[in-house]
Amino acid sequence: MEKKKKTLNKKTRRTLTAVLFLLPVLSVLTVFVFGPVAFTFYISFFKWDFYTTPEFNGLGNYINLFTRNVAFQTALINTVMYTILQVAMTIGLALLLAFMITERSNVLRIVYFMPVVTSAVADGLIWKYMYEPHYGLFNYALSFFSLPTPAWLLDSQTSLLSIVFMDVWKAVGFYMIILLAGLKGLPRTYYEAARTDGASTWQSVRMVTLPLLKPALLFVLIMNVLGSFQVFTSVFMLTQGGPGYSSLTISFLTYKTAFNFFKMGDGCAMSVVLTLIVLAISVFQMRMFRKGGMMEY
Amino acid sequence: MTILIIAVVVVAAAGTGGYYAYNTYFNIPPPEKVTLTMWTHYTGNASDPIKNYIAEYQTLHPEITISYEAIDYEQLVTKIPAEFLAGNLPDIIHYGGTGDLAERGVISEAPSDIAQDIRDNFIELGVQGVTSNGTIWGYPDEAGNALFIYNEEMFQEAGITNPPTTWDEMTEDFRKLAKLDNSGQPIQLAMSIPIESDENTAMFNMLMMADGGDPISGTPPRVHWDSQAGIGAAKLIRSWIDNGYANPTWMTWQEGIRKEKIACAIVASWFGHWEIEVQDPAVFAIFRAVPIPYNPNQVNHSVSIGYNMACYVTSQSKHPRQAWDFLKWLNSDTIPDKTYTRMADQIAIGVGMPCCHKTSDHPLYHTTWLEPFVTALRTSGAARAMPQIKGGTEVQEILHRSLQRIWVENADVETTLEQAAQEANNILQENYPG
Amino acid sequence: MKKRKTKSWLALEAGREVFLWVGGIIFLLPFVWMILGSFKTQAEITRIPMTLLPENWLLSNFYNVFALIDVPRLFFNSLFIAVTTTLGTLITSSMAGYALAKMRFRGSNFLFLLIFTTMVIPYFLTLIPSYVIVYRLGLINSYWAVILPGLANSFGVFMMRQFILSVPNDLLDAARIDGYGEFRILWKIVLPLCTPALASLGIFSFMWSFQDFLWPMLVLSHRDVMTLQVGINYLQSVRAGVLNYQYAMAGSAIAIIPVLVVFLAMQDKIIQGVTITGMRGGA
Repeated sequence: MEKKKKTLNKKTRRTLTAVLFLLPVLSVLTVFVFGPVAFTFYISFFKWDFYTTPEFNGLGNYINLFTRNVAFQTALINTVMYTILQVAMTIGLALLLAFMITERSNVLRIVYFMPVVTSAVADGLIWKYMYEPHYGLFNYALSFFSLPTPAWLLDSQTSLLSIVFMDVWKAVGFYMIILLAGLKGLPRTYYEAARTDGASTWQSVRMVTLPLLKPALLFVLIMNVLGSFQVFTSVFMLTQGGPGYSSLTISFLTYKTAFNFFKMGDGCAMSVVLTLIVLAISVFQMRMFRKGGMMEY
Repeated sequence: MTILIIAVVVVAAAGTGGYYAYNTYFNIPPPEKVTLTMWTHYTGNASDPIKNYIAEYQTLHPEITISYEAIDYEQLVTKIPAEFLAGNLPDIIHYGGTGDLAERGVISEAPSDIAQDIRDNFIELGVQGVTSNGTIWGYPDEAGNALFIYNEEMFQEAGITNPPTTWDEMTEDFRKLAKLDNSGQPIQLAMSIPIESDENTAMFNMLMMADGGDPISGTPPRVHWDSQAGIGAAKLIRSWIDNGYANPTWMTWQEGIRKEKIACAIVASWFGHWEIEVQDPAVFAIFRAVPIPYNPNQVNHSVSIGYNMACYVTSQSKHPRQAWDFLKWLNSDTIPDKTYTRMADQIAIGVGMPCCHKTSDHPLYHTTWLEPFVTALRTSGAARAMPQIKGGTEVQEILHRSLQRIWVENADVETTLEQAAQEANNILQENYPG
Repeated sequence: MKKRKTKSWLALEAGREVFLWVGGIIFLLPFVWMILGSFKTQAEITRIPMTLLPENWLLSNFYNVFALIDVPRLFFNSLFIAVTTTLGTLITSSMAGYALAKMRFRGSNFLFLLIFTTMVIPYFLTLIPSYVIVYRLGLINSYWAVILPGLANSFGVFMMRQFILSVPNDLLDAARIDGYGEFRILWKIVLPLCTPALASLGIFSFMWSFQDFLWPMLVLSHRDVMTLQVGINYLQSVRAGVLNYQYAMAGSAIAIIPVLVVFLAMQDKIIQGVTITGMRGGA
């Protein structure tokens, strides 16, 4: 009888301690993540200018986004395009570098990783200066080789691409290291077997290494897409969404809508739409990778 | 004996009664100590004049202490609403945007004597700028407007003797000023097209007014960018690009003006000060300002947009009467021996212009640069305030981006302005149904 | 394993070297350009054609930046917030990670999944209400506005849990039998074994907090509490003069160089941390 009492006390005590240990994290997460997520969904059905009482608007905000809000529609397309370009370039380059660097010196690793740790604001200022059509570094180099000199951030056709370039530069190092780690963990036996069987380097890579790298690639892809969809500081520093709507992304528009125009309800609706899209894409990616569809070629 | 006693008692009673009566009715109690708090955006040394005046006022009114704080303008934008909700607003704020502040209940109406003082002694633009819903809400000061500025040397070199007054003259002058090289790239441009939001929309709005139009007007307020005047203004600017007189992506106006590669611009007085005078005094010296050229088929004089800030008493002030008295002394009373007000002296530092009629001879307002701005500001009908509307920020953003599309992407003028006007009016419809 | 040293193989290897090193130089170019620019005058920085090296290595730009924005104050603010947030993250993540990894109780798997899901929630989804909450709590323009939300880092919890899982249970059971309380176990036994994870998490947390921009911009607008990143952004304002890229370069240098120095000093730990993440995440 006494022994039973002791175990009970221990178990409850253990649960209580566990709860205590988890309390800080959970309370902060509740206040700043779970609560806000619910709150965002809730507010997205209202019109609210932050200072007066919210008015119920049903699905009005959402309908507005897709029918009347030209800025949002353009931002949606821009964000998708931006993500496709940025992810393709970043992962492609990161993979390439990971393959090439494998046994190389540490210095290169450090060099490619440096842009990852620097301030996005400062980087924005530097790249803005380099993109100056007249006295900027890029056009100077281009004109040196007699190549055409675009207006970069001032031209609707190149504004989004300019932001992509800077973001690729900032992100490649990080994903390169992750892929390097993934590569290191792969057993070489399969690769060697394929080579001795007469397969060329390219074929062995395609058939053996890449499929084995799938988990790491999936991880990297999901992380990159998630981050890409929320790009803000780059747009803020380089173009403010301009010229016109050419480099407007959803996150930047959400910020403007909520914190400049004081339309909280519409801003929340935009966030919800953004989240649903990201979720859909992540699920799609995981499905594709499981089927092996993307990698079978 | 009895009479003596009665006399003593009567005198004593009268004396005591009189003493108390005197104390109650004639002995004016010393004024209660009052502390007023005041916020402006004149950070750093820019506050020196006003600090001196505050010290002076405190000497004149020992029972009043004024606690003064200067906060950067961008921070005031978030601080004022935050403190309003927290109940911590100061007594006085120097700020802009009467309509918004009045609507939200941040500021109090001016008492009738102050309102009369404002109507009598301040310029039309200033009074417009502090009126909302028919009531007056503050002392207008620090006005600004925009004029057409040009590089005198470049004009002389191109053989132009007088600056343009009409659109036709302006086009003609631009033709003489613009120079292209063999491959069609500009060497020198006539006019600048600003790319920042405020300046871009301001230039369009002013040219639209110069074409006889009104960008935002009416009750309920609606935009009229797609009217004939708006389209005319947009087409004019577009024609500069098509004819090679201007190029929005070639150089920013700051770079062009300072390197003397662009001859003209439409800028506000204080922009000119911060972007040109402070950065490049030598270049600044050869610039002149004249009223914006207008379309004589539609109007017969030049109009520019004026805006102003004001000194308001907040709704949370515990001593509004003392606050208003101080503001009257600061804004409306001229300094003894001088012909300008104390506030005029303060805003002269930031090259803002005073709205008070009684300010005519402050030395800063007679410089070659600023004098045309001041004249335009005081000429009735020449400076117009833009209406303060709810949703104004979003509406301006729509105009800005649409204009950029017309300048940079060569989007069709009529369709773009129509779409923009429709989108803007949808928003205004929600805020001002009618 | 023999590698045939044919000519083609050598050429490929050489090509690889060239590509990597040229790429490296291109990657470093913006930083070099920033440093050069921070010593140029306004005329040099906007000159056409461009000048490569500054004529004089003047420090005037840095003086001017200090005059425009209160650099020491901004630096202190960013540093204070970053350090506090990092310490907080380390403490809360260790506690939560330990509880989830080594304390067997009902619902531990559920809670872990819950915390894991928050990692994939876009921060934009929580931005507006977080601002409203901070506003209503009256925390705007107080350090807490940035520190509080940063105290719980689901990524940190994830990382610590994964790491702590690898601590042998026997150690812990022995300690429990000896009558050690859970907190003591965590502090004296588990954490000393987890220094690599703690170091990596600490560095990540610090770097992320130091260069955060949007949230501090929204909640810390008063110049006394503003962070360095938000302050640097003001170098683009009208007061600073739009063409004064030399100030922007000097300001960027001030923001970047200390971070780079720290990075270079601790680069092996940092890169190792990313590698660990990659291995755990990819697995």
